[in-house]
Amino acid sequence: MLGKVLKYEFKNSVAVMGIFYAALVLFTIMGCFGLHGLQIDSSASTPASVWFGVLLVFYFVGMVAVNVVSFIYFCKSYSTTMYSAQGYLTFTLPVNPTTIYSAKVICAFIWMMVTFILSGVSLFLFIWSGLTPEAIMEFKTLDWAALSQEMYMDSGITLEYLISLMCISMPLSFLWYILFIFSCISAGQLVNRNRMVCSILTGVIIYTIMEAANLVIMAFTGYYDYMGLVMDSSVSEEELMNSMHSMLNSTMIGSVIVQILFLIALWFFCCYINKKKLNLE
Amino acid sequence: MAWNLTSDRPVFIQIIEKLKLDIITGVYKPGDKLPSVRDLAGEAAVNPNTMQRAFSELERDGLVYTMRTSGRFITEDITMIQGLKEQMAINAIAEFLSNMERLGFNKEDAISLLNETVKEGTSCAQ
Amino acid sequence: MCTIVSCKDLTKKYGKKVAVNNLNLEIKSGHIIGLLGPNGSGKTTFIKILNGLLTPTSGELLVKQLPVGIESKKVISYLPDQTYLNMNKRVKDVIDYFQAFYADFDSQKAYAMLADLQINPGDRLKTMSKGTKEKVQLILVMSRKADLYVLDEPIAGVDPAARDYILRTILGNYDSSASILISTHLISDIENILDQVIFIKNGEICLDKSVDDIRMEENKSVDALFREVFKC
Repeated sequence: MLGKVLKYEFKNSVAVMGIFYAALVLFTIMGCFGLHGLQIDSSASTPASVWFGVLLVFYFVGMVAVNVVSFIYFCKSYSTTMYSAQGYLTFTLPVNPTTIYSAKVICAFIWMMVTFILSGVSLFLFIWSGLTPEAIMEFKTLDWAALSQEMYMDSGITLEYLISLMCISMPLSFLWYILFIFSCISAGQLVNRNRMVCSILTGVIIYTIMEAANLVIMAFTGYYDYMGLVMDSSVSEEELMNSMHSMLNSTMIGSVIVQILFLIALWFFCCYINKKKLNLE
Repeated sequence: MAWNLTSDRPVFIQIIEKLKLDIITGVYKPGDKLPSVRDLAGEAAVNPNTMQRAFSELERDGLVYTMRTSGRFITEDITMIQGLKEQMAINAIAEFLSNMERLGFNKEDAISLLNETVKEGTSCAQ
Repeated sequence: MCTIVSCKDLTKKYGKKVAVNNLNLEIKSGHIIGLLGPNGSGKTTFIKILNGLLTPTSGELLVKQLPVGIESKKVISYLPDQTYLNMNKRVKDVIDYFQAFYADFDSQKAYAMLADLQINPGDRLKTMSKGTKEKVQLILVMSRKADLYVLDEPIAGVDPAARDYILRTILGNYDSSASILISTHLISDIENILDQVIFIKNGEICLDKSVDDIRMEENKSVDALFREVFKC
């Protein structure tokens, strides 16, 4: 059943996402073109360079816009298909509301990941198109191991660790944004009037609790202790360094765990509302 | 014939009256097969249960009989149909007389007025 | 004949306001029932509870001896009182969607009815008039072989000729194993196809009788009785 629902979710969104990706391609071309133009004329500031600069601006703004607008599209789509008149169709299907909700979350998440990856590819192409042959050479001969070691000395984290942490936390934060906004929308439909106000209120409450949880984590993992050590001039450089390494490590892991717990809580919250507290007009 | 169903009397009674009329006037001849409950209900735009009730009443009166798998048929008893015709005519006359009484004509005056009207033909009727 | 819906002491409260108050009723198969009452009488609330769109405060509602849920949604075909489809879709996309989720959906029947009403399945819903959209929605609902059809104002926004077609379609869907529940204000138009009516007022049932009984006992049409009972 989930597969079937997912199939239709993707069917419904593929046309719109296609438009977004076409726009992304267009912006990338603009950006590369602009960069290239500026490089040819790097010393002079002719009127033409202004236009190339404009293209660059378009590129960066466009990239951000594609990511943001596609996210907004998913939130609007959730609100419309679940809680407006279309909700009458959605909730009378012989399908568990939890399955429907899960499908929407999964669909939004996958599209956001795809958008993010494509943005990354676009950025890579953009940079690559602007690199001089010397820069490319330098890039190819870069000693990654040494870089990683240097990074470890500075912050207690290796490059590999950082990248793997980012690979976990990026998807988690996409999921967080999706579940957070979906929860606000679901909470908003509980009331008959001023749904927007209720949604915003819910958002504020959830965000506050999240921030509070993060503060608790920071306290637990010794952030404040570390700050205390910084203030204390009797502590040696090495001790400070070690303390910072362990603190950063646990903080990062701690906040990931908090985020996962919140995601689970928000998921159950929405499922409960959809099953028991539906309030279609 | 069109179904003119009024809203103040039970539908099944009106259906029975119309079907009886159809039988007398020869729309349904003796031995003819009646359309199914569904078809006739659809034509009359009435609930099939109502049509079924009308059919059952007609069956009880003996005007219609059911052959297990073939459907419903009009009786071939011509005497019964004649009797029905007469009964309906008598009902129409009784209704005429009671209407005339409401207008203020007694039975004798009503009958003489009736004879006059018939003699002068339908051109008099307004 | 079996009981399709049985409702015992069903209550729905919104804070202090009682929308449905200790409702008791039974819907048996093979009937076409009219659910009649003024706005705010609890008709829509009852229908929403029946379709799993609202949870009652107390009481019990069983559909074929099962509580409201996925199984009941499989056997109930519901036509809401508003356009509930995605307007950007084409009619054939919606038929495809219904076919995917409802095992009892007959797409051939749907296409045949669309042809009867000269509606092009390739058209997008947003290009259609209100009346045509309502016809499409009705066709989708009637193309299912459900045990209970719940129609909320099926003929309200439609021209008289199409009304006749819709009433004939409703009659055509009649099956002695299924029932049709119609909630409407246009009583005189549908009176003849109803065999039972339920009057609902302030969340309570004030009448539950067959149409024939009403006409025989009160010597008036259901429409006339309604006007009397619900006089403002």
